[in-house]
Amino acid sequence: MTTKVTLTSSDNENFSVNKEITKRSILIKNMLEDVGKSDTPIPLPNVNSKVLRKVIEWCEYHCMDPLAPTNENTENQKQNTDIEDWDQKFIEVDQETLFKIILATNYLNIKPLLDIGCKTITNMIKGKSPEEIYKTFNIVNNFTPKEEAQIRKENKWAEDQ
Amino acid sequence: MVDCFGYQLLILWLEQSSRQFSPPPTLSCETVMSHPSETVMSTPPLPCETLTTICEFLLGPTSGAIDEHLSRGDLFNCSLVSRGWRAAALPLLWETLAVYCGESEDVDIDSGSSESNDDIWPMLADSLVVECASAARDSISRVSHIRNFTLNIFYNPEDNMTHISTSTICFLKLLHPFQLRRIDLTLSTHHTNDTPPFDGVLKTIFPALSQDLEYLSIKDCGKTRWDNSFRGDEMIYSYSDFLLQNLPKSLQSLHCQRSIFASAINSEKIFALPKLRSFYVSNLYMTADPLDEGLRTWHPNFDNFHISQSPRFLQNSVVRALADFYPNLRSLKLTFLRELWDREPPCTVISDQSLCFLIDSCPHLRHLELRKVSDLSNRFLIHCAQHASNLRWLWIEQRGVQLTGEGVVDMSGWKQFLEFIDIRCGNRGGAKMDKAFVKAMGTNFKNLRFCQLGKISRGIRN
Repeated sequence: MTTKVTLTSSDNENFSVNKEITKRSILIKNMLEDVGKSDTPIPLPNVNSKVLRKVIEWCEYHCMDPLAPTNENTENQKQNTDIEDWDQKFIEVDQETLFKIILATNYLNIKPLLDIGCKTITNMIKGKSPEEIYKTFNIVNNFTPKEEAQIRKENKWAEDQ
Repeated sequence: MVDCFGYQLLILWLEQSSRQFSPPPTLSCETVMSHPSETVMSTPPLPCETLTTICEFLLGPTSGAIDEHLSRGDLFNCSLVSRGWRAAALPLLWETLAVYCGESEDVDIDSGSSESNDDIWPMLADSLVVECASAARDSISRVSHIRNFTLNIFYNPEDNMTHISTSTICFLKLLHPFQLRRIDLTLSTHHTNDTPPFDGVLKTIFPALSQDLEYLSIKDCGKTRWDNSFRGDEMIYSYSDFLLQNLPKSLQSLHCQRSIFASAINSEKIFALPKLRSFYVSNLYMTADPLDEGLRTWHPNFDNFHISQSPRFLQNSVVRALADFYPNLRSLKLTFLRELWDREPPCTVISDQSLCFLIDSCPHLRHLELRKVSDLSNRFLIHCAQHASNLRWLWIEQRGVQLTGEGVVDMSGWKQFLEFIDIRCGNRGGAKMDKAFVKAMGTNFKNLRFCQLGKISRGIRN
């Protein structure tokens, strides 16, 4: 019989999940180790039910993956923004959800899923001008005029080349 | 890697400055983009470490700050988006500074494809100097992010490169003694009797700025009139002589490639490098004493040893010492190919006994390459085929004809991983190989992609 753990989302929805699957999250894994045997639900105040459902779906699909990649793999992955087919389909969500998945995986400490989210953003940035990046992600430029002048000054050597 | 301390200071600076300045009005210029004209809903802000991860995926394998700025690369564009994005992008954008100066024509090494920065580099160096001079005490300058410095100089005495040298020295003086992790130097000069112009640059870097250096690559491509009167013991000015005398003890990887065969000043301590894990030298003409001395001092997990065109280093005692001290050795390459120097062949040839000992002592050995340095017999091949169970790559060329594969029956060691085998012996590698050995190599090796035995080649199999 498999042991289940209850996770509670920020909007108070409970998810009963196989304990081994939740250990994809280093945050939850450490919590479980600290608490020991307990039936108390684990509150996740930074993750809503929609995002938590997605995260659990990913963890269930990847439950057989090795937990910690070797250093060699990590180095190779650094330059590689390819995403596997299943993960590519999984991450095809609206931008708000994508950002919330990234924030959730950062909070839950699920490095492989965080990397998939970051690679997706990276692939959206590639080839875009700063103006296009603003528009794509609705980012507000918060440079002051003084900072902008300083940046222009710093980059002058590279202009007109 | 991002410098965490620097990063925190930058964030602190950004937070402080956000309290000092009012929201920015619209600005339009080439490098800093104008603000969106309409009010838009902002996506949830990502934490700094996540933005850094995103920027790390944008970092190309060879791009440096200059290329990234000139090509308006993705990382450069990210640095212009907002304060948060700039804080994440700048440490990576400036992590590597690669400077290429002079004309690269007629250079006999792979010098990369980057264009010369003769015009830009002095301007950039000035900009960095001005920034550091005018910066507030705790502020973070672009220079402080630099960890990897590449300097490729193609010097022709007819060109005046004094301004390049001066700019480089001014820039180097901005660096902290423990800042640099990696230096790649390619120094190509036509041989003259004058003092080479980049001595000052090297003496600024070594030893003062290399105190925490992990990786050093020196491609010393001095050119000289190439004629048959040149003698092996003749001294030719070589930048790497000075560098070899000043190798930092923090080095983990040393790559010293000279295009000319030249004497180096002997010093027993030059290779005493306690953190070294990878060693590659070519064209060093010096006694084996410094190497013998150094070999016993390297890191216990030392794993790469490559010697090329350095006859006095090619000795059985070196192979024995590697076997004795470095059980995690992954790659051993010993080569001596240049026919011009046949008048000075290796002092001794690498023998069966020392190599069999190495195979037994270094079970992780993956790559073994011995080209014109050995006089091996089938005894070695029999031992290797049976015991080298992690070997992927085996390449042996030798003038003697004893290595035919006769008697090699048990190949259980090679079965699992061997991908490449090239064995050629005798004049022009044409000696006849044992038929049974050749036949056996054609079957039962699931990973074998290339097989050349004497004149018989099985080509590459995908």
